[in-house]
Amino acid sequence: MKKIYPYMSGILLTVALTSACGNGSADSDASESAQTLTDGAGNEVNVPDSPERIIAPYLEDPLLTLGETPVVQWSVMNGSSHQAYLEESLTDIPFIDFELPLESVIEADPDLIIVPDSASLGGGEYNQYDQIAPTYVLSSDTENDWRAALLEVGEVLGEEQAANETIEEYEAHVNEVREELMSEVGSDKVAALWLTNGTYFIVAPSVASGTVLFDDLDLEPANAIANIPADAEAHWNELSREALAELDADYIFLVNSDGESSEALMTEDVWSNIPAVDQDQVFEVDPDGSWLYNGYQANRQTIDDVAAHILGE
Amino acid sequence: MQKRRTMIISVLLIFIVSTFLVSMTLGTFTMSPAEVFQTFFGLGSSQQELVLFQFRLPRMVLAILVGAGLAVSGAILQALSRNDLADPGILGINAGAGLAIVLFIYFFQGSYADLGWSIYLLPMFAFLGALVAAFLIYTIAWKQGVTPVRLVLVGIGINAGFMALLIVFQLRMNPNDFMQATIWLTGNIWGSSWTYVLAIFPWLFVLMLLVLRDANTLNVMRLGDASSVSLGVRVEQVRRRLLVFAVGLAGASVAAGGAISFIGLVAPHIARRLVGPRHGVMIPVAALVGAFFLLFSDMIARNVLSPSEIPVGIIVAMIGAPYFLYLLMKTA
Repeated sequence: MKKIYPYMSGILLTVALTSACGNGSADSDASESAQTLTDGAGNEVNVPDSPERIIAPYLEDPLLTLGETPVVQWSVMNGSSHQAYLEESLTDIPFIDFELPLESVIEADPDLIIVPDSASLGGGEYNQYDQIAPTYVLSSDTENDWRAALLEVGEVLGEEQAANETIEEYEAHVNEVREELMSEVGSDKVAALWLTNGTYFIVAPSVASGTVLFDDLDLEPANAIANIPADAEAHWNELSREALAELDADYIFLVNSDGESSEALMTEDVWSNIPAVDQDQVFEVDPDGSWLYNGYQANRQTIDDVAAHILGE
Repeated sequence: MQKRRTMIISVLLIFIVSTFLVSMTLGTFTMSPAEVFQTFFGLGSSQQELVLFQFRLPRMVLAILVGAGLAVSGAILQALSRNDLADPGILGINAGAGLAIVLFIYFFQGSYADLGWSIYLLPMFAFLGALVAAFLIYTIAWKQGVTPVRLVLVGIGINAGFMALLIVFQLRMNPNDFMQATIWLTGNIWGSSWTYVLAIFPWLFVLMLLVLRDANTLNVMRLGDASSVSLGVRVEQVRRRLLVFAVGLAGASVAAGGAISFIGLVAPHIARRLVGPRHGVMIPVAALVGAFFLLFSDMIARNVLSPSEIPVGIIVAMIGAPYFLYLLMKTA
């Protein structure tokens, strides 16, 4: 029986040796790095001067806005879900799993990785990603603030000026559309609804398309939206049948992910008392569109939708 | 008999080594066996070195360690409880370790993703959690000594309670951390690095040596309390000591690999079928079986849905559950 021990310790010794060997090797080639930045997680990141192969999952919107195209794009299950509203700019860009498996990342051969938060680095430790390419984690205040995200991505890419100009241009455009809407809509109430799997969700006032409608365009939120507590975390809140029946919106933007025709939906009793149905002002918008997202590109598309439906532009 | 043992151990080692070699060449990042061979001897590109030495190797080494740790823990628990259904997963020890880690992340850390140096504290916390679970099981099961049946029944109850607590805390996490915690609790070893290996290796190494020293005692314990006492074993004291070993092994394994079930159950069974019930041989063989089992499962988990990965715990359960049912039907 004693004969067994040598085997056992033999294995363990091999393990120890392999781990010792593996430790010191494989540094990523430190190229001509231009600036060292401290990212949102406190890491010192050597950001290359003009990165050419960027991975920025779920930050494709600010990236495109600043004129850069990523080498891969965010997706779930090989593209069964992805940011379809950016499809025009991202055609032919391969998908990468949202968990960012290390080997998929290295396969994409990036020279800069930017992620919205540490939790996005689901396939490994920060250090392992940083060995592939400099990895920058955005600060946490960018989570629900696309302007802050755009500015920070701009800083990383050395495009602060472009980011600032884009935001100015955005505000100007918003002002213009707001004026036009004011005369048409006045104090009529507005809501954005999302129908998915037979359940209605209503947008929170300061995220996704909510922030476009109520903060930027200064429209009047319908009762169900005004009732959402300010600190609610969900972007879309489930709307009970009763709350739907009492909705006082004069304009409804419906994101219909269920494929049922909205005309058929409108015949349901629950819709009968909603002013928007009476006034024929329920507008169906593209379920693959921008209404579930925030960002310069997303918001511009949402504003275009609003203008097209209300002002008939 | 001696010859058969040597042969079985050699065959298991060959299995492990060949799975190890095959596994090195598989993954989203394409590397031919020749390239792997070159890279292994320092002739690869820096990318290839990174993939092999920093991504694939630590993960495989960790699979071997965790698999062996869980298997040995299960073997001890089965001997102590004289119940072939005992394993750290069923007895609530994994759940205790898991709960401790989820609490650790919940209270002291922002998220699982940026643990940093405190990774070295994880085995400690997992061990403490597992110890609390084991202590609860042991004291609640105590009735002028602990009978094996009570140990298992109380263990199942504790397991359910800890699982419920886990869910309560998980529900209070933000969605991202919730996802991470769920995947982690299913059991996964992706994204593992040398840091994890170094964090748990000393624990497992020392504990396994201690367990092997006690192999003879385990042989006696398996005969039953009465026989053990008459053979001069101080039953309760020994049971407690061995329980702590089993808890330590399970805790360290869970800290690195999450709550992987079935290995602690199946590996000792297979080992007993291969070399018989004597623990001096059976425990090392169980360790090898567990190591091979997890290494093989992780190779599948890594590649079957490539480039996405599935938690290795699911693969283990998919292979382990049918085998376990087969065992039950054969013996019943």
